Amino acid sequence: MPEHAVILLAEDEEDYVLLIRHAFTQANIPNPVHVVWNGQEAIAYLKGEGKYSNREEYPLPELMLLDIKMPRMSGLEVLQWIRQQPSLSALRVLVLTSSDEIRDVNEAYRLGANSFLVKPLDFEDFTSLSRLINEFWLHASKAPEISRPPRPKQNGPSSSKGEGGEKAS
Amino acid sequence: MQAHWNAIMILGFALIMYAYPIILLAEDDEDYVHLIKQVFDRAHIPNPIHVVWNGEEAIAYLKGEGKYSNREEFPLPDIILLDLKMPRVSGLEVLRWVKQQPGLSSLRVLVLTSSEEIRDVNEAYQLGANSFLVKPLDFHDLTHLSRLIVEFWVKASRAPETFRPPRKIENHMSESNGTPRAFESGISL
Repeated sequence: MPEHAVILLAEDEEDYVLLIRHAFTQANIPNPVHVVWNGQEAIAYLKGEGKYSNREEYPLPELMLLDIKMPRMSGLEVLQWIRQQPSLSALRVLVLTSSDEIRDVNEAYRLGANSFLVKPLDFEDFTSLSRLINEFWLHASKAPEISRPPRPKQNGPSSSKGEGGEKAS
Repeated sequence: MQAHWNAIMILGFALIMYAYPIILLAEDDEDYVHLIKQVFDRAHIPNPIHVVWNGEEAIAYLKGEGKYSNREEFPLPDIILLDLKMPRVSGLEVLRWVKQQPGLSSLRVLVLTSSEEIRDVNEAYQLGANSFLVKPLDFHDLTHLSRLIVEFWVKASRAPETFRPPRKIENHMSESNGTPRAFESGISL
């Protein structure tokens, strides 16, 4: 069921994006990972603005991995924006950053981050962290309804509760 | 040689710290409390759990009120495991209260409930729950989930500073990577 849920990765460093993708593959995470390269783009994606207006192609994510230090708009600003949107306030956001500063940790939680993770430096650790994210966030923990991907076809009345997304393509 | 031993000692402390997250369990079902404690015992996480039996008591604990005023004995937790259906004050109300307190808003709260209702899931996240977990009913699944909680929340995820319990021995290990820093327990509510 969670295999098709989209993970949104906000990360400006291409090397890290490659590393994360590779680690996810290694950890057998089948979920599609969509990448946005800065804070502004993250917000455009979540708003469904511009090229992200097609929700079939760019569904709302089930989980967001958010770097802090990004150009244009920082991850903490993105987080603050997300928590102010009624429709996104339940979106699960994991900060994934190289910052080890306790000030950032405190601030991120205060702004409503679901968790705070420091980027591991070597690939092995990245893979085990990916496994853990997969097991905890995509399997054990329940996802809120709002962030489930939209159903591909709206056939019949949409009165069913809490089972969106199973048939997402 | 001495430096070597110091390194081992520091590592030892680090491991002990990892094994001692302070968990506050808010749960009114005595059987389930026993089950959780048993699971944590078997997973070799000694005595990390403080139990409160309803929402009112949870708030009293976090405020440090009444019998909870001694923070040595009842330290602020690293993590709260919060049931939703509890007498007096419900879990969602406790959650709302926690996230409104300036000194507690970054406290990590994991909802652990038998409710599978999507309404509860949505509302819990909106109120600021860090995660939402449905209670496993059998021992094996609960063991697996408990390990996962410790692996993710105690080892992998960073804790906000304010919720580390005040202890003295950590002062000399503040700089090593991945190790809890010196606790600055300057919380006043």
